[in-house]
Amino acid sequence: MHNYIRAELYRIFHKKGLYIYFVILSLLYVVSVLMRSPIFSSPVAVSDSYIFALLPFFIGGPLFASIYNDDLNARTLPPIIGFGRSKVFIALCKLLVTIVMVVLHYLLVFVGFCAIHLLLRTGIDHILVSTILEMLIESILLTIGFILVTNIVTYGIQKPTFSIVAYLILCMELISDMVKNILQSSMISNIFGDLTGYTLPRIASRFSEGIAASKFDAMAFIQYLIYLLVAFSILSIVFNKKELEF
Amino acid sequence: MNKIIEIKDITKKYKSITAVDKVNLTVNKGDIYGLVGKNGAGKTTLFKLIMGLIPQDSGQIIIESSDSKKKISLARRKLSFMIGSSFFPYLSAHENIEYYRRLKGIPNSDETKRVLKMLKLDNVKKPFKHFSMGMKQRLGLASALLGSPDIIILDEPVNGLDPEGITEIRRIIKKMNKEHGITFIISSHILSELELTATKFGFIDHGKLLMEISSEDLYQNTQKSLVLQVNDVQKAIILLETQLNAKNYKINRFNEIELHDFIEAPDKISELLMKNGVKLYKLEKKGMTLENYYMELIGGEQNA
Repeated sequence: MHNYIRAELYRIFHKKGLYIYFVILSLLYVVSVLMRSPIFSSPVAVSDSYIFALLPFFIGGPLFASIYNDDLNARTLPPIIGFGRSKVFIALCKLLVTIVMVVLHYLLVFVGFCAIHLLLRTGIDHILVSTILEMLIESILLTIGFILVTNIVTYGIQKPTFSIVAYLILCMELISDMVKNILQSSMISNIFGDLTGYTLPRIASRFSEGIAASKFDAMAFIQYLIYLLVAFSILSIVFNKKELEF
Repeated sequence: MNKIIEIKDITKKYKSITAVDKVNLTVNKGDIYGLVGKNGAGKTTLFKLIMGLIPQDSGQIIIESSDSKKKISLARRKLSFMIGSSFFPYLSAHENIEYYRRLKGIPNSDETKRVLKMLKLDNVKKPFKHFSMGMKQRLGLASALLGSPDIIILDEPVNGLDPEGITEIRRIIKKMNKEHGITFIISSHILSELELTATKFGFIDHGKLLMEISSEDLYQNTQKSLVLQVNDVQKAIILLETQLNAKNYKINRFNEIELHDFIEAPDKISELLMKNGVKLYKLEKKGMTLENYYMELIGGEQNA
């Protein structure tokens, strides 16, 4: 497992395109800060900002493509399985790589955010930092969750374009709104009660709110882990049943 | 001979299509096994089964005496293969091979340099997406050679290569086989090339393995005629018919006699002709090509 994760991190860190993308993204952010300053330093403004709400889209998208789509495009999975690795092993290693890469990149976002605001003297304070941290934790949970759910499609269909589109759609609020509407329908709510609090975005939000208030919401964390476990189980079954193309 | 891969009665079906049908195949240690078959004959499915990419419906695969699922999985780590190009387009030759070295857990970092040097890719800095077809094939072989595995499976290794590249790949395969004892299983459409490389052949058609044959036996089986160039063709024919009762012959466009009898007794022919004053300029065995042999085996060109 250690070898595979090491190899994956090696090749992702040697992908120059990823660096170029994040440099451009950082520059765009600097421009947006300059344009919006000083309003931007208000915690409320940050909370309402679509920039942070779209982090799973802008940060998670390229990471998803690098971790999963590159394998499908380059057809590198058959040699790995031919080397005696099981599909579940691959899926598990990929999940661990995802967690490492997502956490690392959001940490960089946080460091970069603080650095930019300090350099531009936008009046950053501990309230703003705390708000940003809360949003980043929520984004980390959502990104990992969305990636895992999308992987059911990724391994089931094995079409790179289709899987990245599926991930990006999942990141948009459209899907969560649709799920919320379905759960709010009388047919569901009459039988199961109010299930809207159990959607992935709501669980991630509850957990990150708890962290911001210096509380560990164990229930939200367990619910989140159940999400991951169920998604991983389904994708393992799907992946095992699907023959790899090469 | 030590059996390194043994396939027993293996069958793989895709709905109503039987891709591999009760195939029995044996690869011995040190073989360069040439798998011959047209597109859709079942070669790739057979490779997928050996590599564990798909499960068989019935039958058994034994790799290096390992027959249980867990042991085969471990035995597969001594197996390497090149099927198409499995490389990241944005990485260089070194970075791609380094990726596989790390993945396979090969501790010696010089191994990457060794295989790249062997395939003359050690000075190539550009990313894989800018490689020529020949370079891609060479990188595929470099990856397969990584860690000196016991068995290497190569699917169309000389596809897209120029004559120089084909000769180079053949040289490397033979060298690795001879010096490191690596067993190769190769499929190729260029049968003339396979003929020069393989030490054993398996002919597959419609999912069935028609025949397994060593290169020595194949050579014997494909020697089909004796070609005679003489100063007096008519006299030579009369002598062959009357003295040796030879009936299977024809005169080719070079006015040579192609004799299909007495293939294993060319000395008799030369003695008869010379004794009777016929000058013999040429006497040689003419064989079938591997391609002709395969075509004959599957039932003529209409099936190809």
